[in-house]
Amino acid sequence: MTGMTDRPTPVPAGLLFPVSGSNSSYLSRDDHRSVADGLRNKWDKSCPPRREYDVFCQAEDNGWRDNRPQLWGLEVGLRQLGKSGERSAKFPDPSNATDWWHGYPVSARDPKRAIEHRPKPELVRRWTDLGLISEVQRARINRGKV
Amino acid sequence: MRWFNARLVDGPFEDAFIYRTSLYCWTFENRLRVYELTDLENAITQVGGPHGDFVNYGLFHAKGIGATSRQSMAWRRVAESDGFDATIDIPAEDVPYVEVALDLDASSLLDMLIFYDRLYFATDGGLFSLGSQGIEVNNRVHRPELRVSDPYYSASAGLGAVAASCGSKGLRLLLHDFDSEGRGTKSTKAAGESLRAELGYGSVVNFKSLTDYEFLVGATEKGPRGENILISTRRASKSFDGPSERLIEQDPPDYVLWDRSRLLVFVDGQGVSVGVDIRSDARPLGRSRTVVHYGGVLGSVLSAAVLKGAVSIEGEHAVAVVADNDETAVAPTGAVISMRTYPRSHRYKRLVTVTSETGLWMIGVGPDRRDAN
Repeated sequence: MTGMTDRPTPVPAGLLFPVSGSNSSYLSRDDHRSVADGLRNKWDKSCPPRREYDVFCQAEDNGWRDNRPQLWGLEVGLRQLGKSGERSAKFPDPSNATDWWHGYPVSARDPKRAIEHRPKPELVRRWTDLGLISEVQRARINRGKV
Repeated sequence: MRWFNARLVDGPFEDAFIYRTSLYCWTFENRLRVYELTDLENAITQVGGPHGDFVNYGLFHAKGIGATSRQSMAWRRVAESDGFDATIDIPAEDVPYVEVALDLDASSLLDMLIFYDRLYFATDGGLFSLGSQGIEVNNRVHRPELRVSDPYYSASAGLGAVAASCGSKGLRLLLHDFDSEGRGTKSTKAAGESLRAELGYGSVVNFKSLTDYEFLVGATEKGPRGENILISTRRASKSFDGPSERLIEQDPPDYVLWDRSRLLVFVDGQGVSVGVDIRSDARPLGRSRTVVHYGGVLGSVLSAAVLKGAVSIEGEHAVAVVADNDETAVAPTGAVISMRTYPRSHRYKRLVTVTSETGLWMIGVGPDRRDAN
């Protein structure tokens, strides 16, 4: 993964991973880290900024997007990424091409985001075909259980 | 409470629906596999020995409908005896089946439904339907009819109509879908965002999430057999704000479902029944009372469904069947894909079918002593 050797820089809003190879600059935002206050979705403490960034790089490298303006990320076997048990992540397209990317863990079980936080089946099928998730996991994502 | 189950193991099952005398299974290869009940029963008897007849009766012959005298005797013997649990595993490939391909322009099935001899497939390519007759030749390719092209999340039926939840594209209703005059060819949009919907008791309840519900008031007419047929809907006249509404607002539940003019609200390890005044266009919530407890048995609830005398509750790694008297049986299903009950069926009213990471479970409960007679 191209981002592995790049050293992130602390900035006021978090930790900034610079442009590297094919990957865009990425900001691991403090307000989405597990220690932050507030209601934003949080990365689990077992998912530090480097792992968060790797999830983003893989999503960007593979173009994991459906028909919405965002990338979707996950890890092999649907490992937990979020503090509330989320196993996938969303990286909204930056408003401007020069803006940094950022992202956060999501789950379709979020009571107010059941549709918004559910990737479309065609993308989920790609993950199955790549061997990242099992057929059972594919079906459960499609039905909003992950 | 006694509980028992038969499990089809090592099968590629994503979803399942039992209808008349067949078990319809959707496979991970996007094929439709159909088991005949007699073949399933033979396999259960072969593997289960003396318990097989009892399990067959309990799963497939509630009130003795279609049961053999041997099955009825086995059920009575157990009803009169003390506790008995049984689990019977059957290799899915050891039971004869028919498997057909369906020519659907879709990548994934999200829900299935069988109603009035018609199969409905809710997919990301739209809602398709297919008559249940003629699916008896292996490897034949069937071409279901595309009914609505919006991607579907779930489908449900009642009051002679089919409700299809299309996510952000809204709730669409196929009214008169079983009308001999063929009036049910067009769908009408009944509500905005929709993940699932339930029909019954003059109402359509639209769910935007596991818990966010809205009432639609249905207008009905009498069908040829005197049944109520939904002909139109309108939003409930206003958003009511009584004590029960406020309680749900303050303590967000895990899951809510509509069942016979009540909401069943699952919150903090309890299933709470909340009456709904269906005579009022505002659909105000009435008195509430706790009907089942499942705290300590399951964590958060992912789905729930009602069966005869009990509620089936899907947790993260198991399904619990909780009887009205709070007796509880937990099936270690592992992560669940789909869970269904058949409360409108006389024959299958005690049955729960579950597809999960450990196979296709057919779970039954009972008998209690009153069933012995």
